[in-house]
Amino acid sequence: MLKRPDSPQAEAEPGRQPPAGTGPGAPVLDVHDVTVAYHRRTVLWNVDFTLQSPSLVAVVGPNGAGKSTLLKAVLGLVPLASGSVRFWGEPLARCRRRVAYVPQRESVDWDFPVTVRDVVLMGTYARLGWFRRPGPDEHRLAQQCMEQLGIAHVADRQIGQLSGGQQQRTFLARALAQRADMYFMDEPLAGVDAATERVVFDLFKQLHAQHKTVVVVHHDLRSVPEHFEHVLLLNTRVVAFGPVQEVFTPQNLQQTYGGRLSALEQVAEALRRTEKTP
Amino acid sequence: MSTWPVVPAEPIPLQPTLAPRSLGRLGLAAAALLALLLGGPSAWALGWIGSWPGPLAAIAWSTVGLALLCNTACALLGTFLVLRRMSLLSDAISHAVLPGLVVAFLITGRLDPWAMLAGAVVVGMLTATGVQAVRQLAQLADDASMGVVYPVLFALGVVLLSRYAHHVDLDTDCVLFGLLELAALDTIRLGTWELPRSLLTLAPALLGVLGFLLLAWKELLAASFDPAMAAAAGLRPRLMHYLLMALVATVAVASFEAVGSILVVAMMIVPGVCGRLLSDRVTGTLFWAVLVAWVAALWGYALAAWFNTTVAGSMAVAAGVVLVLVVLLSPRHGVLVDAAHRLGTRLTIAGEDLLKWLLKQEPGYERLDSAPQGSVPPAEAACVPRKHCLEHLGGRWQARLVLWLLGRRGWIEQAWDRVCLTPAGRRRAWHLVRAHRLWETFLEEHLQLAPDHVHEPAEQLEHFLGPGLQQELEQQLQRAYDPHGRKIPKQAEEH
Repeated sequence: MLKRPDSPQAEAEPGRQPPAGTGPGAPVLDVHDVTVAYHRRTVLWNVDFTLQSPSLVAVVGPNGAGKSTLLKAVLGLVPLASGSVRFWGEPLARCRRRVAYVPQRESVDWDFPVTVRDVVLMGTYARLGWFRRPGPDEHRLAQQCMEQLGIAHVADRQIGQLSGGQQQRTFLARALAQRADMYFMDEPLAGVDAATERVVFDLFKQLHAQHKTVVVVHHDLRSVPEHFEHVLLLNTRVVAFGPVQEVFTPQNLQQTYGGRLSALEQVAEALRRTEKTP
Repeated sequence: MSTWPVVPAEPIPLQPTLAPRSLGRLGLAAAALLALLLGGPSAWALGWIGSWPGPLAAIAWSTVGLALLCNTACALLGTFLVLRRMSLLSDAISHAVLPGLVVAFLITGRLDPWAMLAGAVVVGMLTATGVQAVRQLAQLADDASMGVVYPVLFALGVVLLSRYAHHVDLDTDCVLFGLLELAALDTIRLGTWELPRSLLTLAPALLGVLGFLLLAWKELLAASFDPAMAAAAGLRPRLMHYLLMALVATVAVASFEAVGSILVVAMMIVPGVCGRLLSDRVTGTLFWAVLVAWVAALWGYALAAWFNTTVAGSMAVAAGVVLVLVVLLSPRHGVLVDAAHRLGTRLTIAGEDLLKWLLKQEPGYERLDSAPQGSVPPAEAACVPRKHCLEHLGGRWQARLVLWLLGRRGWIEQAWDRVCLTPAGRRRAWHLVRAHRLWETFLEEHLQLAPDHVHEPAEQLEHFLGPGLQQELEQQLQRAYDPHGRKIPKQAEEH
């Protein structure tokens, strides 16, 4: 349903490849030696990885491993104790509009008196610049994004009256309306229904087909091999980073989760399954 | 010819069906009552003040006008504070600006409004930053860090005032309650115009607020709803936060002398809360907030004139009264409408249970239910004494209401002291039987519940299974019999 080849976005976007301002050979995302500390507790230690080309990246690790903090640090939302982050070879300040962030669903007040349409329109705000209001173009774009995520029928509902899955879709539609080249999503699949999960995975695929980069904090290890290209195993430090086939191994997972991983066996099985299928 | 009962495919809304239209009307009635209760006294107050002798009325209008300016500015800013869940910050800032005022006075040596404003804004920002710093450094919750910062600053202001400036007319009582009564008399000559001096601070403050909202609307909206996303998108939520704080400090100081901090705090919080109860959009919330602030100003002035008491205090009290009315009567989130909805659902369920019970009292029911399809004559309508019905319903006032509502829907007829199902009521009852048995069967087949455990949940859910859900259930079931061995009535083909 999502992969309509005639969707306007699919036609419009490839024209922007490769994005302007990209240095030749500059990596898409370069996280260099990032350390983040809250008070005296270090949350991220020397996190260092480089993404050479657009990809679907899953960030996985146990609770408290600093997954959400990593996204916030990369986006400049928490101060870095050390290190630097570069997008397409440039600092974030010069390419904010090409980066979209989807925070955790619980991070906002869903009683806030706005409709789904209002929230999705917020995705267009950054491009508009100061003092300008969303016009017909922005409304059309918002409508299109809502249709793509299957929430157009609740467009004028106050956001508190949505189901969890619909709320998550609203957030994703807002990110889509930002027309970014890189998306950072914090647990977009936490607590959503099966239908929304399908829609979200389809969205990942579609974005990837348009050479976008999608970095997802993810908790369901079993779906990693099927839906992601790269994986970052994180537990305060980077345990491993690379293509899923090479890095997503039981040994690495054991190292990431310590002895606490109950799903380990299932993952190993999932891996065996995906090895057989192609 | 007779058949085993087939449930007709009449549409059944998923919502409880007994009294939905009257509930919609109830929302409208609440709105009308609220409009009457807010508009009536306001109109009376306008007429009463208008009937005063000329000069007195002129002073009254000018006082109310000043209050409207102040209340509008406070309501607009306050709505955002309420939506951002930081209403207490208005309280904090409006108190904490006192040392700023005193220091500005000590530096300039006179009561210069611009210097005082600057001093107040600086301290207002310090409060906002201080609250954040205390929260982060001492790891306190928001309310605790505010509670730490502003009494200290306010007390500092009082200490400075009594040590260095006790001879000045910077009276702490005046800071709290203001002197709105005299604000209209304290005039200043500007060309040919004789204007109240407070107008020169209140009008620019209101213009500043309006300008801020118009120019930075989308940034403020994004920053208020989702600061993290706004920051990532470069929408400067932190800047918006400090601009908002600066404006709160400005409005607080501009309104200080005229209306006092009690009214400022009341007008920053109460209208925003009322607005949120009356609307589910930000613009609507702002609109209602301003309207509530105006009503409170008018009522408060009339109240003060009637009882010959403080104007600012009366306005704050009036705001409280308006809040109570809105909480009770809001058509969307009001206490009364909520209670009516709950009552409606309860009556619907009781009524539907009574329909089923009446169906089972009919002499043909057992035969009809256990016989093979198409072999039994239709049940003749059997009537039940009204007394038994009331007993079955529990016999309270709600029981009579249920019978009355069922009669109005055309599901039962009441003749003499007997109650009979109408054909429409019988169809409705069979619908419920179908929903009940479908659900029982589903619970047993798919959730492996024991047959003696399925009745209770089905009894609850039968009232909420619409035709769509019924069909879906039916498709998932393998048997046409419920766990007690009774047939599940089929739904008729739609024509």
